[in-house]
Amino acid sequence: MLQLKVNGEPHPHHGDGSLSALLSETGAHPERTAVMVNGRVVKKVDWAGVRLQENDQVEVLMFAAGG
Amino acid sequence: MNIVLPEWLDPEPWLSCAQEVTEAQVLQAINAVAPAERELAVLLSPAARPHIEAMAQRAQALTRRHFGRTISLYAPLYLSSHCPGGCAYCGFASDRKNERHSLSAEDARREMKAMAAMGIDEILMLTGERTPKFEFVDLKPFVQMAAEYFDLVAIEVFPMEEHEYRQLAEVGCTSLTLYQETYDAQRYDIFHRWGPKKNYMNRILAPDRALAGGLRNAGLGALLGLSDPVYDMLALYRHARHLQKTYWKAGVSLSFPRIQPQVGDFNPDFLVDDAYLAQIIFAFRIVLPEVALALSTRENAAFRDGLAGVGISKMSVASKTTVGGYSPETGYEESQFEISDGRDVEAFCAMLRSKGLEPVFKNWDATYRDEAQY
Amino acid sequence: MSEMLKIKDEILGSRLFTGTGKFSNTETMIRAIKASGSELVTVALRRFHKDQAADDLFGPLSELENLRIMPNTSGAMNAREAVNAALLGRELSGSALVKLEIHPNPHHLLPDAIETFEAAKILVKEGFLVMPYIPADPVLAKRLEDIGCASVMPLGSPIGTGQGVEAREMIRLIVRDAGIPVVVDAGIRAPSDAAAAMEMGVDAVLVNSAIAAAENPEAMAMAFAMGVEAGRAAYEAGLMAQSRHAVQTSPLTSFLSGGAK
Repeated sequence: MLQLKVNGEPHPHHGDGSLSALLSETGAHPERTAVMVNGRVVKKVDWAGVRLQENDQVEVLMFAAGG
Repeated sequence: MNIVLPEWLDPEPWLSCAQEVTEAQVLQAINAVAPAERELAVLLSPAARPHIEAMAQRAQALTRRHFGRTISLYAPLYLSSHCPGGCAYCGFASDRKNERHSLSAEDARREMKAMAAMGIDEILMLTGERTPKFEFVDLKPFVQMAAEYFDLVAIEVFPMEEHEYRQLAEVGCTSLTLYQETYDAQRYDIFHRWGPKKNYMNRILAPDRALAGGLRNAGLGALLGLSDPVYDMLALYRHARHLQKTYWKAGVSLSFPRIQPQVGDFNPDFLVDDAYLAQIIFAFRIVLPEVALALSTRENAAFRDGLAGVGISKMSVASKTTVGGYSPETGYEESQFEISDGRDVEAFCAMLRSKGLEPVFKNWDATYRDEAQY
Repeated sequence: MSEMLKIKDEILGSRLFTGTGKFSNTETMIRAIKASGSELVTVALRRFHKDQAADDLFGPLSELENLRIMPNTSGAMNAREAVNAALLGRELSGSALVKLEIHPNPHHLLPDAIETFEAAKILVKEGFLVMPYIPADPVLAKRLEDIGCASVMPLGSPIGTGQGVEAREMIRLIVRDAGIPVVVDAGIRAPSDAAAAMEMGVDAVLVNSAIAAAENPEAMAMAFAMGVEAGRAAYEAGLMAQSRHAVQTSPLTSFLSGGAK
């Protein structure tokens, strides 16, 4: 189990530490989200290579209303 | 010779706007909030002539708004009358039988001292087209020397390459004056019988190269009388707008040289009388309110007096169009054109003051400025 | 039908851009955008939350045809944050369009020109089509053009104030010398404001609050579409100049033979 911070909240991760595993835990759709890990944007093409570590901070973002 | 004008220059689409113009259109153009080609064409048309007083009033109001009640003064110095060119209208064409001279460094220094003593702070240095007798390498030291005496150093010489303009900017050249003479490519070809000036596009693009090279101002103009003035003036406007948009940190100024009799007798096909020249100047002030408009001593005193501050914001004074001529030691005789207004600086400034205008020789100090920024 | 709008290689048939903020609900927003005929819509980025999955606009917007999604960097307080927001936005949209918006003050929401310029430099290098939201400053506009921005977006008046095109004279100067499209953003309250901007020669307008806050956003969106078209058509047709009263003083042209009238 990895203790992560996701969108500012503590999040216990029970998967394999990959972004796809994390996203399915959050209920987010990979196609409709963008991700930052520890303050750096991770391009979708690079997602497969990510292995999350203890205390990593992840931001999961989507398109929302705004001018 | 089939030259296709670049789209940014071609006045063709607006030529018809100068035809069948109504009085209402003229009045609207005079007062337009955002005038452009169409308004200029209307104001250049014969229909605008009866409204010349209204045009003058507006031109004066706009001149005052952008230039206050000041007139910038400058004087020309011909460095050399050597020219390989064959321009049909020019007193220095290579088939004119007169002696040619160039100033020596000593001569030039004497001339510049004399001009500076008159109060001049903007010098315009002139030469003919490129010739082994007067090349870029000959010009550069004169620019450097002029920068010692004058804050504004303008050149009206042969078109050069960007790297040459840059070198001149680095030694103190601030401005370029280059008249296309006529923007009508076919007529241009006829008038420029031989010589480097025959290359129309090279000349058109020279101000671009000069501003890209770091000069801070480009002065444009067309020689009125050579071609249809409506065509030439619309193209002149477009040329100015192109430079304003592309070199947005540089200034653009315009002059309105008109063919006058000179040593040589060239009869213009398109006569521009005094009233029409005034109309042209007022029209430009209305459509380009913030651009300096200059009038030289080619024009007579009464005309210059009438236009000072009414459209015109810049004037040459006490000019000599012989090589040198400001100091008694250089007494060459060949001149490019005749001077009609021979008043000295004192007399000319007295006239300006009597009209409530302040002569300005010096606009700013160059000491804190960087070298060329581009 | 007026000429198409070109932003670098993007060709747009509508000169009305719309925003997605301040609508009462997503369905209303989608209907309004559809009614507007807009082909470019701005969206913000927000944290995903399972309980607010319905707020995700990705799905609803993808149902609209011929629509480019332009993420904005709203919320960013400085260049670094804006760059991150742009990178995130591109991951979601798959397009290079970004509305660069940095407004550190939460009250007037006016743009920070300095941070915007810094961010624009970086984003242009990263291959974005940068559309910076800026104060109506003609010099700033040229500097952003010089560094490669795809357009400039000067504000008409502060966001949400609906004061119309207050910065009229400055915007005229921007339009006059611009070599890239000029899009007036912010402050447009009525279709007449949009038309007025288009008549000045502005290339497009972005309208958000005025549509979202209308009694009937869908109808208002249509009205705006008509206003933008009318303004543009008028501009292309060549507007009659305004008249002013001439001032009577003594004649200036009596020195010309037979000149004065």
